[in-house]
Amino acid sequence: MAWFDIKGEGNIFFAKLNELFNWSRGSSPWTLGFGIACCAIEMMATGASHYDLDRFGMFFRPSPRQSDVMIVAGTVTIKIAPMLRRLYEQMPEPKYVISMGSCSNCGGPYWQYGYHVLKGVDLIVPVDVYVPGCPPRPEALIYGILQLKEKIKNQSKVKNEK
Amino acid sequence: MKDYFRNIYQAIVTILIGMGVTFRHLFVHAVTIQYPHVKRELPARSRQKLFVNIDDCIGCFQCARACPVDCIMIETVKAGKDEDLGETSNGQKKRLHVVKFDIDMAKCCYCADCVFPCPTECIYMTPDYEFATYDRNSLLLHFAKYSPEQVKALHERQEKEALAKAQAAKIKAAAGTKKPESET
Repeated sequence: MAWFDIKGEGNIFFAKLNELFNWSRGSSPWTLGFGIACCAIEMMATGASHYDLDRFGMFFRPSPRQSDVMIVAGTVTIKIAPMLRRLYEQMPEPKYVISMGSCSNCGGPYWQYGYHVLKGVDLIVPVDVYVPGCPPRPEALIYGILQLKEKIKNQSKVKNEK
Repeated sequence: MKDYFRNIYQAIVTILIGMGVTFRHLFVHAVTIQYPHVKRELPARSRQKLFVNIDDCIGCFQCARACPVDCIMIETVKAGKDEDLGETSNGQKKRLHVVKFDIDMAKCCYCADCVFPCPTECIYMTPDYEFATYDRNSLLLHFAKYSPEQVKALHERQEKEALAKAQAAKIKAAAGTKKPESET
């Protein structure tokens, strides 16, 4: 909603509307599960009944056009990097990226000698939350998601953060 | 005709059996852990965030050498002759200033290979996993207690000492080469 932001900077009506938008965006961020490696197993465990992502209004969507958050879970090789970028561009605004695990944070075990691995997914897409772990526990991923929700809820108050 | 009614009977019975299983699960206790409110207690030896008790570190580089991904960065400066840095909790004498002890948790692969070789048992993994951040630089953990000025002073002292040592060696070498000349 770019024209809201341009026309209604100090407008109290639009400010409240923005808050409503942020609340609804933060309450149901549907995810594009981008499981590429072993972190995907942990991501599936997070979606399964013991940790249950549905409690946070999150569902794994198979299509980028229906999703708001991309969870990059796993080693991003240079071969899949263009596809990742394309899927990110196909997602509708506002879109967010969670980088899950050491590999997508900065290349992980491959950061030194991996000729085939992208050294951090933030080289090709803007990352909002970094979840450390190799792989992270489901709780750690949920903690990262909660951090992202916090960010979404405060994004209109902090200018030009996103 | 007989097969037709048997098929209908079987369809009804099998559906009832299946629905019976579903119905029984209505009364089973839910397995979901309500994570942000209820946290599952992790075992004490679970491998999550690394922690370094820097007071016990003697700067032996064994953890950095054991690390398969080289995510531990240590820098040390030798202590002066009349300087006493104290002892570690298990009685080892500290002979080095550990001016830098950084661990990049973004690179870490949580194998705990750094934990076992430590002679003073000062590096270990804690069950803390909640450190997701907006900024990757905050995953770089600094454990050394030295301020940048102190580090600079220590480095200058080390350089001075090295220089003095080199000069002394030079003089000695010069004297050593001169002597045979004067003898012949």
